[in-house]
Amino acid sequence: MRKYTLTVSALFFFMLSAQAQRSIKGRVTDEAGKPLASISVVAKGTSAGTTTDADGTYSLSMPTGSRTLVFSGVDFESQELKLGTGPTLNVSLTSTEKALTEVVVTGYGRESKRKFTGAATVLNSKQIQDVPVVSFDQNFQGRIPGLLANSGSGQPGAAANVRIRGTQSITGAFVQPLYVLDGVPISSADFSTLNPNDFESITVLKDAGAAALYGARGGLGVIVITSKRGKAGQANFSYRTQTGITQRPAASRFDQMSSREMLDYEEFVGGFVPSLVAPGWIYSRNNPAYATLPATSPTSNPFGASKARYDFLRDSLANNNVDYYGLVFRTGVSQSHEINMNGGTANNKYFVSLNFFQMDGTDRKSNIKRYTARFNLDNTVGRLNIQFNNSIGYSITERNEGDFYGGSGTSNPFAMSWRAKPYENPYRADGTLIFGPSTAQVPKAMANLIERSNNSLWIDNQIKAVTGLTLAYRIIPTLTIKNTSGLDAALNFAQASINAKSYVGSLQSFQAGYLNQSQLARLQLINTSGVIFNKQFAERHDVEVGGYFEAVRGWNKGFGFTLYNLDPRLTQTGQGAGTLATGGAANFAQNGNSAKSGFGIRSYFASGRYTLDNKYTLTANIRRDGTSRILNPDNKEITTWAAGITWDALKEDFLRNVKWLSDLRVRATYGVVPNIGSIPGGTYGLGSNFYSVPGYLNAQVPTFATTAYAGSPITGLVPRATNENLKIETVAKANIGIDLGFARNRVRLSVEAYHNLTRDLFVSQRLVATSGFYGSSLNVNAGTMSNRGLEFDFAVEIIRSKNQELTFRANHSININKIEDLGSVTEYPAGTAIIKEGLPYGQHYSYWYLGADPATGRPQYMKPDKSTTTNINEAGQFHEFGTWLPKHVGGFSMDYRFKQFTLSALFSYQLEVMRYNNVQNWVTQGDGLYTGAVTQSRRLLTDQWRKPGDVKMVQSPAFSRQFTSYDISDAKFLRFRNLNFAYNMSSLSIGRLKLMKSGRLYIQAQNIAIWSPWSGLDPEDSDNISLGEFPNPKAIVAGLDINF
Amino acid sequence: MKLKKLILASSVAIALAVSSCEKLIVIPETDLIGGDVALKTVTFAEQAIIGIYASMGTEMNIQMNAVFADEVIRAEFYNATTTHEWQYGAADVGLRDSYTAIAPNYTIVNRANVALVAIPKADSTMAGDNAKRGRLQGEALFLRAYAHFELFRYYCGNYDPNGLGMVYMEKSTIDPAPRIKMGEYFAKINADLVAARPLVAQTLADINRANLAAVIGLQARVALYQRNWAAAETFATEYINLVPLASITSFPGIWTDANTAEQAFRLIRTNSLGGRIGSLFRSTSASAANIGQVTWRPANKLWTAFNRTTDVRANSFFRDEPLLTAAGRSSRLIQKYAGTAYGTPNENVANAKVFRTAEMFLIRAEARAELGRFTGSNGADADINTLRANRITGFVKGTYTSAAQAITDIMLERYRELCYEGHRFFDLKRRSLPVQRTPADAPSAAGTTLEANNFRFVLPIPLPEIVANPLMQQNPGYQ
Repeated sequence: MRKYTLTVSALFFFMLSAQAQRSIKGRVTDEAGKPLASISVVAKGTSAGTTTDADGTYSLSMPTGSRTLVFSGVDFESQELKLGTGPTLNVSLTSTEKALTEVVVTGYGRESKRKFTGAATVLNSKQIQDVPVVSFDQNFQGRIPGLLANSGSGQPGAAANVRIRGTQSITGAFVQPLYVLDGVPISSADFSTLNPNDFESITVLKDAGAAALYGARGGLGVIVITSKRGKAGQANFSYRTQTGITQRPAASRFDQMSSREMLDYEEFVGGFVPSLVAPGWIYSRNNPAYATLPATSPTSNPFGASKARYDFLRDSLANNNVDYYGLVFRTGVSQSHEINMNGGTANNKYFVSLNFFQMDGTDRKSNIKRYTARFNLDNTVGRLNIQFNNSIGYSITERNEGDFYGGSGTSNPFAMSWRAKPYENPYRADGTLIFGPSTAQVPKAMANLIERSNNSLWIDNQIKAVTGLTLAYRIIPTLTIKNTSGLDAALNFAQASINAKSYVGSLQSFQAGYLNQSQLARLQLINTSGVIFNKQFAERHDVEVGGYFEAVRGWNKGFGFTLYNLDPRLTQTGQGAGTLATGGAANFAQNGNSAKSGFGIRSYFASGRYTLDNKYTLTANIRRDGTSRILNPDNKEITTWAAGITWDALKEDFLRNVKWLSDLRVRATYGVVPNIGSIPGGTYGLGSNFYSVPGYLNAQVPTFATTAYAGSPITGLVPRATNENLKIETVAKANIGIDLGFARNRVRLSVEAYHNLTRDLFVSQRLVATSGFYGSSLNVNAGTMSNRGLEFDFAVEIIRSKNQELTFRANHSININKIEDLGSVTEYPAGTAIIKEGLPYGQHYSYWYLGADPATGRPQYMKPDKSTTTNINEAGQFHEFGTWLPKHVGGFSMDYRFKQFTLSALFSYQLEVMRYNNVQNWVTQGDGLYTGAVTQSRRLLTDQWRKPGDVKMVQSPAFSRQFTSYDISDAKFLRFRNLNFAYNMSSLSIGRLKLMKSGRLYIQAQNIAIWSPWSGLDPEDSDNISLGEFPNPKAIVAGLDINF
Repeated sequence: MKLKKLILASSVAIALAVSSCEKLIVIPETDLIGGDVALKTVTFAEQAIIGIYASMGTEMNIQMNAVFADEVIRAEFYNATTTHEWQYGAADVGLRDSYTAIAPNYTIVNRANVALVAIPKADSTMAGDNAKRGRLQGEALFLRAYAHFELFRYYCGNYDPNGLGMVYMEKSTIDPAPRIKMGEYFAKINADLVAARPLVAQTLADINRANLAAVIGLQARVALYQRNWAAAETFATEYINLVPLASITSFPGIWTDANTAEQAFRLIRTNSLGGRIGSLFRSTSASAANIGQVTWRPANKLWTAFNRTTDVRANSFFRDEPLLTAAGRSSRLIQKYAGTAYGTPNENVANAKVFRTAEMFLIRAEARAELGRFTGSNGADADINTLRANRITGFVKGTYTSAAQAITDIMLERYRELCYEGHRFFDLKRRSLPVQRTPADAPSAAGTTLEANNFRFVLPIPLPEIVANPLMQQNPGYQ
């Protein structure tokens, strides 16, 4: 037998050799006939190859032994063509963007979209690369139907908060979907250390059928990322660079008083609140104390209190008008440089990239520097295929120390940008800062803020490595065994410090600065083994069945400490720190801590697909997942299943001749997905302000807290309320989708309808007194919650010619969340929201404000019986003010190409969304307390009660107003999200020396403009309330990509 | 051949991987004081007992019996209209803020139940651990009975075997359970005490923790409320034999914590642990001259019940403060828990006395009167004479001529001796007497009298508990 094979092979080789070397040439174009440069052309099975010129032409001497050419290029699907008899071979390549709409990456394989039964959206590399944001999830907004991606911070590197098809869980309301990079699950905590330019595609899996393959981790949806792989052929080098700026957004409808207005307003408020401490009232002629002053200050004390001095001060303050936005914000500079290289033979391909990225935030201290490297290798030896993917990154994030503490406090620059009084000049004439104890009469808050940010540092260094090795061995043509081993490791090292020798340092415990450091190491391993059987029978039946075993293991370990009484000569170090006085106490507290924890998931699963005539496809899977994150042995493991069907209607004979219809597919899936991410847990503090280590079983294991009894030297232990019977929430997901294509797919529409039902929903249940925990609540599996929705994805190619292309795309999603059942209760308040049967998650729950009482100026609220009261104790709380999660989310974009110029624009919008505007609450309080501490809004000049009979919204300055419905504002917006203008260069040669194969010059802008009824800096946020958050910046970059 | 080997090898590899992965789903939390580790040894289990004492207090009793009855009069700050003037319902904020007795007492019960499960299983790691194990068990049983008895005093009517008791919790659970009848409820209290009695420390070496005399003291008190007069007499006698009555000389030292006379069980209070009992009546002072805000003054009715020159109690319980007079403030102060001088760190700091011998004399006198022995050597008057002789200089013994006269006089003596110790309101309820304030003491006309047996003598189950607990039954009058 062997001899026979050998003989035949020899004969074959002989025949090939006999044909001798031949030269082949041709032209490569895209579908529209446009010539394609820099396309790699390789003789299959050899290293002989070339690339196309600017006019798309190539010529190659075919080596002996090869009769097939492989054409491949960035953004195009590879194509293999057998040589004909002639000397030319022209080919037209399909762009990846279009090709990708035909393929769905499900992590355990690539599924042809024609056989895919679920709901998925794919982003390609073009939409991801070169966008001036650090964390790639910031790119999702407006691009993916059914996905809400909002950013809560403009800090470079901040991640977005992503929700797929609504909120599926109460306890897991802020848990992020599962991200999988090349088969390895990655933590969503450190996206800032990954380079999005390395990504080939991002696939969002929304239904049960696709997500079920990820089992317990996929309950909230799965985002599957593939990185770029090498393409066979001569090495292709690229250099990419960009440079640009970041700017603060313009504040909208945020009309604050000028210095003179503020002083006049203080005088007015002082008339109602004589105890007001504010310059406008203290120096006021209306102030009764003014009359008692001497006319002029005595010569012995020229700055002493007198009528003349007070008049002078008042007048001088009124002429200060400090631009706090200008002081707090800056224009930041960003730059990036990247080299990447790919190539190889058909059996051995590589992709290598190195990237440096640096971006200054709009805050004076915020910036990020990121260094990343990637090495991807594909190797095929006989029946064994190896994929080895590696990325390593190091990032350094600096942040304003005051922003880290956030909120509306005086150390937060973003709060002070609207809080500080415009008449407070933080600088002396010589440019030095006027810091020190601040009072309402002599405010130094702004100078102190600047002094603090000059003398503090918040820095986070992060190393992240993601590595995966996939081995696939084809035992026989129909049977493959496959194993993926991967790790996601991250080491975070964070530090906040205040210099000992500074004014702010003197305000810390022990009066000499502080240094707070923390380290957190996280590692997650995955190992997936599978046997996959794939066979076609009788040309009609296509069967694929796989059986898998998967193990996931995670570890966390961290420590932290805080040092005080630092050496005044040094900064950001504990060296030289002094001792700490105990203040006479017998004991002193530890200023450091450490903790460790871990979890595991074990899964067995099987999946199958059957396709008949490429027309009908059935998919099904069943799995059993177990996890250490559930304590009760009876509840540790859960079995779930999913099934789906798709019908490619155009394959039916009766539709084959309908020419205007180019695509008609109907898909349906139903399945149940466990949601492991929502299991309530706890955290271990690390003795610092930064990280904490998750305690996976802390809400389940009976645990104790320590206490003390004076009658015994022994430390007491008291039980905490825990629930030993938690089980895993599950989400049952039904999805029906239809894909339509008209006019040769130039018009495409996909519509999805879904219904998700979360069962065994964790509900916070008030404990009965007899449990010993009166007033406490505990999470129990008692509720159900539903999300229903519709998604539309539409695209039309308006112009499609050789020189011009114009495509318009739009997507719109509607999600309706409803709490169906809460077990033994029907509602419970959760902060400023209410969890109530029949209402959606995130419903605001607030006092109903009814404006000022015309007679007395007192604030009026609605009582539970809908009558009016001025007594807050009698007021009821209501849930009629909307939710903070938008019901409608969407985006639209336009891509235009004229010859080598391209222009794309993306808009995103969110509708039916209401958020608490805490900033507005502070600037429109109009009472003594807030007038003294916060610059007030001009709205008070016209909209506040001043005398009996006034019908106004804002109450008299004599009274304070509670946090009410008045502070819930419409946060809908339309955002001009992205604009990209590019010139695509063809090859450049000097004589015979080829300088570059192709290139691209572009200008890209992010967050260009926003339209919203919201008053403030940014209606977009990741949560229900606007505090002093770092607003999302505008960013504009110019860039250059060159391929050599 | 090669193929078979490969399949075999991969099957073995997968089988190994699968079997070794059992521990993937059993990964314990290593950094928690919890699970099997927390109370693993007798030493650790003792920590759980200390945790119970940490949650105990007599403060609520002291405040409640003073404010709801006729021991105090409103002073410089008053926001207790609903409680002082008996206007409360199940959702009352005044009750919620200060008198949610259901919370601390079931906390004690739960902590005791957790300890009772752990103690028998705890490892002995050092000599004496087995003896200690018994003692800890006894303490847990005593504390469980104590808290359940307190719940009865707040939330149940006078003892009636068929009346509604509270929920008696004998294991730690978050599942709701129903209230049971008082007969069964008291049987459980008494059973816990009988079981605790031989286990607890049999000496008075550590009166900061439960001991034999403390168990007996509670047995006497329970018998009194149960109107089990014979048992009340027996237990009171046992206590009196273990802990003698303080003399006129040693009596003031009880209230300055100079001595521990009469006390079988007390809760230590420091300025950092447990709170300042004296602050229930008067805030701490900014300085020696600037005396803190007075919230409650002694009722005139109580003030005048003492002979201020001959009765040692008058100066231990009250003070007529000239500094207040000088400042134009009302001068009468409650002194029982005043701690050290104004403006000093231990101002208002005083230990909580849970059982005192004087109470046992009063219980025994009442029991003897109820048993018909109102006079004689083992009669009610003998006990009252002994008590008064140890309080009043130049006291002349008296004699009772009827049981009714004896009871009335005993109630007066309880009013005097046990004022601000958490008894008065419960005593009035127990004896079906009204709260009767003098016009000078009453905050308002409506706040003068709470008629005998009014439903408000029994506190409502707090509304949030009624909402959260489907099995919880509200008390009459509050539905």
